[in-house]
Amino acid sequence: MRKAISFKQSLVAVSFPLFHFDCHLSPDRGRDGLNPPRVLIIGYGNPDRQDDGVGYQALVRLAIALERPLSGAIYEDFQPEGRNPDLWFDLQLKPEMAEEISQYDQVFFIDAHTGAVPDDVNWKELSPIFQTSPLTHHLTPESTLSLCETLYGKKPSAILISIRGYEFGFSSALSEKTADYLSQAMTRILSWLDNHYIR
Amino acid sequence: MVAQKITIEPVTRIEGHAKVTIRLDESGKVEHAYLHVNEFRGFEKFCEGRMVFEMPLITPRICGICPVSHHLAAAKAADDLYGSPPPRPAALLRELMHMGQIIQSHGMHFFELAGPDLLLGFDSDPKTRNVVGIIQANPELAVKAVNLRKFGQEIISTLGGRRIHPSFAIPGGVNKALTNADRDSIMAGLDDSIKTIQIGISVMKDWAQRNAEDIAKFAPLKSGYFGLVTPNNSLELYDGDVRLVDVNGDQLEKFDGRDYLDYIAEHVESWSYLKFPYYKKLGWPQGVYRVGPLGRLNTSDQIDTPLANKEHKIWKSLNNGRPVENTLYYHYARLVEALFAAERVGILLGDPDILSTDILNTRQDFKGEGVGVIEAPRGTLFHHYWAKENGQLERVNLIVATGHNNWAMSSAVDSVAKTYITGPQITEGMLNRVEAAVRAHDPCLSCSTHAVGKMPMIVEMIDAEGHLLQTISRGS
Repeated sequence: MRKAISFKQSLVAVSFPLFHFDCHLSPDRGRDGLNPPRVLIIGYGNPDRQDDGVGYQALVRLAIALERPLSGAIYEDFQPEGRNPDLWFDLQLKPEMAEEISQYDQVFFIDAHTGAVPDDVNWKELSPIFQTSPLTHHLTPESTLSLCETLYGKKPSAILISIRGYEFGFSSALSEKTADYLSQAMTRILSWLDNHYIR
Repeated sequence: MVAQKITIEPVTRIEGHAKVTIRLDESGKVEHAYLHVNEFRGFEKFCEGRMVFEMPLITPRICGICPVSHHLAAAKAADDLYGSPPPRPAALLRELMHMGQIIQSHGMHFFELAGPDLLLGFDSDPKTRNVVGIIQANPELAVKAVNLRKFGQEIISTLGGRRIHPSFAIPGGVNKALTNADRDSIMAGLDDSIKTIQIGISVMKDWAQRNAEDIAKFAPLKSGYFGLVTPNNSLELYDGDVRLVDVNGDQLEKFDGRDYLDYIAEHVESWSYLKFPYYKKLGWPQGVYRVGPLGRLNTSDQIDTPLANKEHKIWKSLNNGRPVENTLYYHYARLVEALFAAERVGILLGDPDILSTDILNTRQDFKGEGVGVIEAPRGTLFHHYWAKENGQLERVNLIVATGHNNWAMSSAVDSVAKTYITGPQITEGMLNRVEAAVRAHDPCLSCSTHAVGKMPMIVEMIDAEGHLLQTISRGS
């Protein structure tokens, strides 16, 4: 929580560059402020496994920035409820999420990443491609989008924001580096929301 | 040709996933295949010092796949520790939630994980050998499958107030009664769910008929079998005693789950972090056993619901009354259990006590130690707690299904690799079969963490001198 307050303070102190981002929205939506895209931000991972919980911590910071009430109950605080943006937390992605995702124009997935991804903060546009998990129930964002497209005929624009993780022990505290990278990611997410008149 | 080693492993170091090593001999044939599971037992330490009543809320965070099982096993252990057995209506409601978990988990496994292999073929194009391929091949069935999982999830969320980590079972009972409206809402989806499961069973049987040869040679293993049963040895998923039968199906033991330490010991192998539980009296490796759907159907004499029992009779005929040994039959067993769970939902909802508000026993007879046992979708789950008089935990021991099935998964990988890998060049179809040997057990390898970059798999062929001969990477 301390880091989140610090982040809010930094919002006042720093002026952020505006990111031009082609989000595949139709021209008459969003940028005029009249009809902003319906946005869903999904943070996922295990909040009790340090940096794996960065998706959850991102939602907490977003809730504070958006002045949403937080009860402290990890799961109840982040359920889709028709707000824009909607914030949603889950331990991992699941097939039935595809139905909810189909209701939005733009979806963000926020997760941790490891050494296989070169950037510390990775911002990646996604396409619906099913990726088979060879051994487990694990579902990727691309697979979830693929289910959404195949089952419900909807193809929302989607972005994966992944943040490098270092520590995955049993603790709810992020490592210092990951917390710093999360701040960078938050800057970009909030700029995106501002640019699209979501808040 | 020099001896070679093939390694299948996650690229990154994060715990929670498995690695397969396939060693080839000098002629290029498989000498032995190993499954290495990176066990992470830190969660038990993480729990020490917490209060017992917190455990039903803390332990579901172990796993996003079967949080309900941990939630209920923790509550049962807390009941035992506090000496506060739940009233009958609370036990019925807990079982109802558990049936929801079984339905959604088994449904997802069959249609998403196993279904692509069965419906589209082990050797079919990996780009479409997935649930989307199934949707494209049979969209109507795919939508039914999604609805089946949703039905199970709705039971959980109706009772627990949320789908992820339920807040429902507490020491001595549950914290919320079922309303008439909620009962009717669940009941409304029951018939369709049973029909979908029956379609799945038809698909499975049809596939089994056409692939009898594959089934026969795909990791037929001789072992004991382990699972909960009712007093008359019927299938039981929520309560009951543990029954252990031998390779012929003859009973070795039937015991109260609290006494598990008298019957189970753990073997250690240098190549795996995960221990290998076995039946103490027979020793290692004679005492190995299997849990989960195949283990449970082999352990039980019958099933106390009509539709599932009809399938169980067919099951019993597969090996002329002896236990079914073929690993691919885990999939059939899983569907039979899903059918049982759906029928149990109907029975539970029809019980007059299900709407009772007598859902919490507030009397306690503190014992300081408690064991909770439940049949999680993938096998028997033990939670064992020791606490001070103030309820603060001093020690925690968890035995999860993936641990029980460690020998089974390792042996299945070895068997399948020896059967299907015929030379130094591994084809995608061969690799998929090795993975399918693990998948059949539906292991909880996703217990801990997921992160982007974590899931890719790589297959490496390395000769005796350490030269890399071949690499195959997995895309996700």
